[in-house]
Amino acid sequence: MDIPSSIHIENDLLFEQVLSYLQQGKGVFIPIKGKSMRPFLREGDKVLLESVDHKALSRGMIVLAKMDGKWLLHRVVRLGQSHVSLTGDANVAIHEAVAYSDIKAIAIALKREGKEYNLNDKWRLFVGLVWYRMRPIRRVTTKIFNK
Amino acid sequence: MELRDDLVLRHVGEDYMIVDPGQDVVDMSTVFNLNDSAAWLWKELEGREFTKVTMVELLTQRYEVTAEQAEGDVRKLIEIFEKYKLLK
Repeated sequence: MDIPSSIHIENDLLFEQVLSYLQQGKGVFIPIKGKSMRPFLREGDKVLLESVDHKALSRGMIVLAKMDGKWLLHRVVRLGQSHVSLTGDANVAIHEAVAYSDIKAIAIALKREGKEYNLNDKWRLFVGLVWYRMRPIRRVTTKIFNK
Repeated sequence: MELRDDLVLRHVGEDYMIVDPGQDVVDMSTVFNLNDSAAWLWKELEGREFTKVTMVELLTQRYEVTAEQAEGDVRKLIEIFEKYKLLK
């Protein structure tokens, strides 16, 4: 008999559960995996998701979206008429364009080392967007550091 | 001992997992994976007082294992229950 362990669940199965809890009006903490949202989110962090009101979306928010069958937790950088542009904070060039209906949740809080931070205060949204606008500079520094 | 009655055992895909659904907030970063036999045992133990002996008996009745093998598994399982605070 195998003993239970801390679990790795396939993303689809995990997010299916997440969505069902969100629909019940609950908040859901998920663990951060991968590096695409560095430096703002990193492995070991947890973010608190809430169900989304598309009218309340604003630039700088971090959202959970499903694009082409894949799940992303990325930042909103542009709100278009039918689509929203998202990007990972660690990216210097890529955007993802998703339909409003593909945005499934917004991240409202970050839990790191036992402390909880509000992700959607004006200052954090501002800093997130400034970081995004610094892309051309970040691209250069990335190149320098990668040499 | 007794299992916490606020925990939920769910069948997800091919796995069983235990979720701590909280009042307002669910933490999906601390869910636990059980295989078939552990999940079966969990269901048997739900909602009642039990001991190590109960667990060993259940396992040996249901599966073709010796009492020694079952005891080893039970010891590990209880360690996990305690470590992750799955008991009342």
